[in-house]
Amino acid sequence: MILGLFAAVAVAAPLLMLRRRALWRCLAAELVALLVSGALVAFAGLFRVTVDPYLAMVAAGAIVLAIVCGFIAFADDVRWSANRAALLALLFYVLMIPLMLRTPIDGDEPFYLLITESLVHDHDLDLGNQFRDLAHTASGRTDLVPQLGDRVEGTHVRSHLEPFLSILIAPGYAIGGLIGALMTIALFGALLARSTVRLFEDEGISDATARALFPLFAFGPPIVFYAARIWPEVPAAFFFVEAVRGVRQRRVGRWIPAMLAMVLLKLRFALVVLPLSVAAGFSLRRHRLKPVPTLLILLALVAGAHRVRELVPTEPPRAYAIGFFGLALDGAAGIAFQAPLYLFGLIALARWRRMPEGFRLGMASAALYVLALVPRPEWHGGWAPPLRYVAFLMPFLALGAAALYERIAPAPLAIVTAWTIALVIHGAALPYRLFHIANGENAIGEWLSTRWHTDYSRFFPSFIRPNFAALVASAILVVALTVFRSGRFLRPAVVTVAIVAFALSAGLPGDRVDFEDAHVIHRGGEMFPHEYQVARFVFSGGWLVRPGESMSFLARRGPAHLRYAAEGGATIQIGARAFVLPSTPTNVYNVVPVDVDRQGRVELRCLAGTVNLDWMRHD
Amino acid sequence: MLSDLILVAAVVGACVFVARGTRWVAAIECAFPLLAIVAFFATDKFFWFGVIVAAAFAAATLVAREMWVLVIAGVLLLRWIPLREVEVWREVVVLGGALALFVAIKPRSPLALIAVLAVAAVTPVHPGKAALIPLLLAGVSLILRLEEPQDLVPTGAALMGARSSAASRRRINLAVLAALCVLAALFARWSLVPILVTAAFALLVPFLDKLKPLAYAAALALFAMWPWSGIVARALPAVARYEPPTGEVRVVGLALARGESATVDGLKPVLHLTVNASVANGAGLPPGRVIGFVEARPIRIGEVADFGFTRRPHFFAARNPLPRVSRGDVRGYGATAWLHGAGAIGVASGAPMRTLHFRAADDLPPDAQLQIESIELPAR
Repeated sequence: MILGLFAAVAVAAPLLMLRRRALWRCLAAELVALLVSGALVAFAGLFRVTVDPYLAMVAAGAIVLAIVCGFIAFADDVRWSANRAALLALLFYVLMIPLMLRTPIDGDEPFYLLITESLVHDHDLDLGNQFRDLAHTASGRTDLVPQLGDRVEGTHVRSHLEPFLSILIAPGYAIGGLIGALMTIALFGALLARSTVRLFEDEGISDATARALFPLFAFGPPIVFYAARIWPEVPAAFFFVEAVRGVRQRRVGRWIPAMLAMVLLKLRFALVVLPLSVAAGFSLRRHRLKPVPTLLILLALVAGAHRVRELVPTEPPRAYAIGFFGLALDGAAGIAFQAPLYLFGLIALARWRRMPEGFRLGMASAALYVLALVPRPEWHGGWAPPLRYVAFLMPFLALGAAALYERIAPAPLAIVTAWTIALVIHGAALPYRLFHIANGENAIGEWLSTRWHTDYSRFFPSFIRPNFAALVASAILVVALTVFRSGRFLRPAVVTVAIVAFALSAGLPGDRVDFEDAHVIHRGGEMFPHEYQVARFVFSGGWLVRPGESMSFLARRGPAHLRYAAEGGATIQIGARAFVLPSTPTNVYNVVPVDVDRQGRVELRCLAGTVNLDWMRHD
Repeated sequence: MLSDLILVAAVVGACVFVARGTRWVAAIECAFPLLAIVAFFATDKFFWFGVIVAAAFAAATLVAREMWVLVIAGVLLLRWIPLREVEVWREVVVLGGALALFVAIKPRSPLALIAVLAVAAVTPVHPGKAALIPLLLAGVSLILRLEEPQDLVPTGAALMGARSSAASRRRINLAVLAALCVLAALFARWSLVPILVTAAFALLVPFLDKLKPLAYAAALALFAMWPWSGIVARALPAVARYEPPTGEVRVVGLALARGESATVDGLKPVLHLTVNASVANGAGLPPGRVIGFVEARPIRIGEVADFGFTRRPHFFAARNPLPRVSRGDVRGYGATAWLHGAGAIGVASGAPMRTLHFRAADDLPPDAQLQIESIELPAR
C-alpha cells in the first residue's frame, strides 16, 4: 500500500504543482532517482552491503519527493497558490499516515482515540468501559491504563485530556476508524499549510521565498510528524495562524472561533489567546464584540476543567535558562537538532523590529506561554515527538525565517535542508524513534555510543541532563543571535572539521559516566526508572545492579565521585578495587569518593547489596 | 587508503570548483561532511562513499562550466584508486585519450562526459597498446566531424543544404560504426565486450538525447560503484548473476591437475547440492570447454571461469566468460577490484548423496587445474 501511495504522490505532486518543461524535467528526474535507487539495491547485494530494506525504501521515496520539492522551490514553471500548496501537503500527509502506523500510536494519541471512541459509540466522555474493553480499541493498544491526572470514580474514568480534539476527529473516526481520525488531522495539516502560505502572502513574503521554504516547513519536522498523528499541535497551529491573520485583518468572524478552538484544544493555549485577544480587543476599538476575548478565557477555564494555579510557574530562574536554551539547542528536543529551519526563526527574533508585523504579533502572543513553559520539568515535551509544546509556533518561526531568507547564505541553507531530509527519513522509517525517554541522550548519540561503546552523547548539548556541550552551544547561540548576518561562515567544510574533531576526540573517556547510558556495556541489571515510567523525567535516572551484575565503560584513572542510592548499602568493585557504599534513605542519593585504578575500559561489578548507580564524575 | 581518501576529496573539490557561482555549490559541498560521517561512523563505507561522490559529481555535471575538469576528476576516480597500484604512464595515456575523446565528441554535453568516462573505465592497460583505445576513438570521431563543412559561412540555400547533408552523412556514419561495434560485441569474447559497447555508446552520443533520463540513471548508478570500478568495468553482468548461498557451506579447497580425481565424503545425505568451482591458469580456455567432472556431470567454462581472469593484468587476454551463477566473491577495491571466477554448479542425484567424486579433464592444459572451492548443502 505504501508503494502504491508513494507512486500516486510522486506522479500527482508534479502534475499539481508544475507545468510545461518543469513538469517533464521533474518527472524525468524522479524516474532517474528511482532507477538509480533500484540499481543501487541490485549492487548492494553483490557488494554485501547490509541495508534495512524498509529504511532504504523510505529514503528513496523521500529523495524522490525532495526532488519534487526542489522543482517547486526553484523551477520557473510552477503553479503556485495557497490552495495548491494545501493539496500538495495533503498528498504528503496521506502518504505519511501508513508510515507512522508502522508502530502503534503512542503517547497521548491512544487516549485521544479512546475519548473519540467513547464519543462515537457511547456518546459520553466516560472511558471506564473503554478501558475495560481495550481489545476493541482501534489503536490496538491493550496496555492502556488511566493516565496520571485522569479522574477515576469507581468504574467511571474521565480523561484529563481536553475532549475537543476528539470531537474534531470523531466524524473521521466514524467513517474510517483510526485511518479516518488520522486523515482528519492530515486535513488540518493541509489547512495549516494553506493558512501559512496565506500568512506569508499577507506579510509580504515573495512567492519565490514562500516556495523555497514551504517544503521545509510543511514536510519537515515537527509539522510533518504531527500532521499524521493524533496530537492537538497541528490543529492548534492552524487555529493560531488563523487567529493572528484574523486579528491582523480585523476579521472578528475569523479570530473568535480560531481562539476559541485553540483554547478548547488545550487549556495551555489560553496563555497565547490571552495576549492575542488583548491585541484583538484593541483592534476592535468600540466594537460591540469587545468583551468576547474575556468571555473566551472564562469559557475555556470552565470547559478545560483545569485549575488556574496550574498555569502559574513556581520554578527557580535556572529552570528558565535551561528550558529556553533547551528548546533551542537540546540534542533530543531542541530546534537546532530536531527542526533546524527554525533556528533562522530564532535569529529573526533577535531582529525584532525588522520583522513582519504578523511575526511580531504571533511571537509576542506566545511569549507568556513560552515563559510559562520553559521552567517546567516537561519543557521538552515528555513522551511525544520532538518540539511538541512549541509545534504550534512553527508557522511564525517559519515566517521569521522567510523574512530573513534572502540574506541567508546558500551553505547554511544547504546544511539545514540536508539535515531536515535526514530527519524526515529517520522519523518516517522509524516512527517509534520519534519518542525518546528524557535521559539526556538523543537518537544519534545513543546510536553512535551503542555501536562504538564510547560516550558520543556528551558531545551533543543536553539540557535535560545539562552538560558542558550545552554550555558551549548556549554561548554559540547567543553569539549567533547577536552577530548573524548571512551565516556564510557556516560552510560544509567547517562542519566537516567539526565532525573530524568530534570523531577523533570521542575515543577518550569523558568527565562523567552516566551508568544508564548507551555507551556503557551492561551485563545484567536494569534501568531505573523503567523506560515507560510515566513522567520519567522527574526521576533521577540510574542503573540498578545486584550482586554478580556488572558493567564496563571508558574511564579516566584517578579520583572520582560516584552518585548512588542503596537502601541497605552495597559493595562494588571498580577495576581492581572494592568500595563499600553506605546505606542511604529511601529515594535519596548519596555521593561518595572512589578511585579508578586504570585509564580506559573499566569494569564495575556489584559484590553485595542492591544499588542504583546514577553517575561517576572524575575529579 | 588515506591517499585514496585524499584523492576522493580532491575529486569532490573539483566538483565544487566547476559548480562555483551556482546555487548548487553549497549542496555539492555538503558531500564533505557526509564523507567524513561515513569515514568515521558508517559500515559499508565504500558503498556510501560511492553514492555520495556520485551524487556530488552528478550535480556538478548538470551545472559545470569547465566540463573537462570533470573528465579528469572522473577518470582519476575510476582508474587511479587505489593510488598505490597506479601504473602512472599508462594511466596518463588513458587520461589524455579521454580528454581527446571528450574534445572530439559533439555535442560536449553531460552525455558526452558519461560516454568518455565509460570508455576510460573499461580501457585496459595490459597490454600497453590497449591504453590507446580512447585516443583511437577520439581520432575516429574527429575524422567524422571533419567531414562536416563547419568553416563554411552559410550564405545561401545551397550551402545550407550541403551542410545539412554532410551532417546527415556524418550521423549515418556514426550510426553504422556504432552498429558494427554492437554487432561485434555479440560475437566477441567477453573481455572485448565492454570496450565495444562503450565505444558504440560514445559514437551514439548525438542520437541519445531522447534517452537522457535512462542514460543518466544508468551512468549515475554505475558511477556510484566507483569504489569497485574494476568490477563494473570487467564483470558487470555479475550483478544479475549473483545469487547468495542459501544453505550450509562446506569449504573444500581442492586443486586437481589433468586426469586427477578426488572424493569428498562425510556429506549429509542430500538429493541435490551446489558445488563452487573454478579453474587455475585457465583464462585462455574458450566457453563450453569441459574442464572436469563432478560425479558424471561435466563442468564447463561458462559455468565456471579462471579464478582470477577478471584481474586487471589478465582480463584483456582472457577468453573466459563470466560464470552463469556467481557467489559474488569480490576482492580488492577501486580499479583493481576483481571478481573470483568461481561459479555455482547444481548437482542432483536420484539417491541421497553422501560422497562427491571430482575428476579433472584429461585434456586440461598442463599448468591448469580444476579448483573445487566449496560445497553448499541445501537449507533445511
